[in-house]
Parts: sequence; structure tokens; C-alpha cells
Amino acid sequence: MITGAGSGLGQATAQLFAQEGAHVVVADISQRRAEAVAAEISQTNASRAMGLQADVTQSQAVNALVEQAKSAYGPINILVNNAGIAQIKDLLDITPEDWQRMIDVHMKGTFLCTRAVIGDMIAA
Amino acid sequence: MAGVEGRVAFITGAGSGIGRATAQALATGGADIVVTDINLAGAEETAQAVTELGRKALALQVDVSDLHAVETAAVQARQELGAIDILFSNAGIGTQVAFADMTEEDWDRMFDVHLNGTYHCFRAILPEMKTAGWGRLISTSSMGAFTGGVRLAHYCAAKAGIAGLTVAMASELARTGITVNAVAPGVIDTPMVRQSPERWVKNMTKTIPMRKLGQPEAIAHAVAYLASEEAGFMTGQILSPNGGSYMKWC
Repeated sequence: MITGAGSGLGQATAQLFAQEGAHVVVADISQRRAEAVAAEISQTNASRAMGLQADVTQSQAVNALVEQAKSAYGPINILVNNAGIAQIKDLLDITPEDWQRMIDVHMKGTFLCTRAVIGDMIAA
Repeated sequence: MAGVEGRVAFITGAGSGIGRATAQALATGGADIVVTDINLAGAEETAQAVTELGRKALALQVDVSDLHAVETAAVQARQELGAIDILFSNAGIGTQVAFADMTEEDWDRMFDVHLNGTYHCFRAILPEMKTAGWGRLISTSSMGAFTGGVRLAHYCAAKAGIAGLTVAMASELARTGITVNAVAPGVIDTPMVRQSPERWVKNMTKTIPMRKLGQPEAIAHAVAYLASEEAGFMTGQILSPNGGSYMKWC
């Protein structure tokens, strides 16, 4: 399962995993991009790919994402925490909302996704 | 001006441990101290100690996770002691929990206090430093940011965030007269560490080459140096008084 896989590094990573024979859950905040990448992978590889929408900052959404992925492919063996946002501003121009969003996407998103899959990995 | 003579320092988490020891070290060097803590009684005890050293002190109750509270404290500090020259963002908590048992609330509180608290302090105090063309922004990261620690994922992640904020802000402010540095203490004998299970403290002590916990003063002196006039060429640095803990084979 790769987060932020609808474009850029995540997309390229998803494609490489598929080439190497893994089934890939393409997760992205954009349903359209997730599905487009998954469709492209399915067309060009023998591996299966599924595009799912999720905001990694939302606990319930992350848990639902993992459950949906598991019901399709079984427990997740590999998680790539890649979802991210970029914003370039001087500190005094950063609003508390900018700050919180940055931490929520990068740090909390990593925590929530890791927490959602780690039980299966430990059991395996 | 040498050392911290005549400066005004704003310290968070100054009601005990490293924050209190630093308030005393800076006061000894001739600075007036804004002593803030979520525990007002602790802040008042530290302020008393500062006063006994012959410097002015203002004790304020501040929850650093609340931006408005930090901004209000900074305004009050400015009114009573003058413009703030030195910030030591030190407030912290030290709960331990296994990752699998970590709740979203555990995670958020750790980030709210350490990383958001430091951001709030920078935001509230940086404008006056820019106006003055001189300032010292110093934060408490942790050795754990670089070594990791069992049952401390949230703590280590938040402390690593402070390290990242330090180097980013040091870059952003490199030509302003304001330096940005951090300390990354090893295991220090503070009330926060003493709240940990005794067995954990014993085991940690065995991993320290010097085989003893650090005293809060060991960190206070590092902070006092970073705060000093003489440290004007130090920025983006993370000093780690840790009893030799970065050495693997000791």
C-alpha cells in the first residue's frame, strides 16, 4: 500500500512495485488520480492494482482504507508512507492552520497508516 | 555586552528540571527571566530563586500548546521586563507507550506540547528579535530524536521535529542576527525522567558510558553558552550533553 500514490514519487513507486510482481493499493487524497494510476498499472502489468481515496490525516478514513485493501488483497506486507504536501513560506507567514496541516499530513498520517497495518505485520 | 548580561530570557517548562536550572544559570550570568510553566507553583519557586540571584523574574502560567496563551504571556513579559532577547523553548512531557497501544490523543498531545509549543513560542517572540536585529532561539530536542527509543515513538518523532525546525529556522534567519540552536539532552535526572518506571531509569543508566544520569545543570550550561554573545557564530547546531551516549562501544 502506497500513500500519495496518485502522482510523483508515490506513482513511480507503485509502478515499480507492480513491475516487481506486488499487488498494489494506490492510495491518494484524490479518487480520480488514485484510480487513474491503478488503471495504468493494471493495463501494463500482470499485478493487480486498486485505487482508493483516503485522507491520511483522518483516523477513520485510514482504518477504512486498510480494511478495504485487506478485503481485496489480504493483509498488507509493505507500507510506503509517502503522502505529503509542500509549502514554502517564511515562519511568520505560516499560519497555525498551515503548520497543523503540514504536521497532520506528514507525521500524523505516517502514524495513523503505520498503526493501521502494524498489527498484521507483527502477527505475520 | 558579554555572556547574557542585561538580556531578557523567556523560558518555557521553567518550573522544574532543565528549565529551572537554565533560569538559574542565565540569571547568574546577569539576565532577567520570564519563568513560564503549566505549573504556576513551580514557576513561582523558580522565579524566587532567580530573584535571590539578584535578577528580575516574572512567573507566568502558560500552556505552550495554546498559541493565544503564549502570545499573551509574551506581551505581558515585554511590558514587565522589556523586549525578549533569548527564548528557551523547553516545555515537555515524557509519557511512554508502546506504538500498538498509542492513541491518537497520546500522539497529538506529544506534538502539541513539544513541536507546536516551540512553533508558538517562535511565532510570538521572533518579530521583536527581528526588530532588534539580535536574538537567540534555543529549543530542547532530545538524544532520542537521533537514537530512537522503545515506547517513545511519539516523543522521538516530536523531538526530531524540533531538530528539523531548528535547522530550517537557522537557515531562514542566518543573516538577521538571530541564531537558532537546540540542545539534545541524554538521560537527565529531572522530575520528568523520574516519572518513568524505575527499572527503565536503571536500564538507561547502564547504557550511558559515564554510568550516571546527567544533572539539569549540564544542559543549562550548554543553553547558557548558546544564549551568549560569544556564541554568535553558532547557528543550526544541536548540542547533545549525554554522558558519551553516542559512542557505541563503551
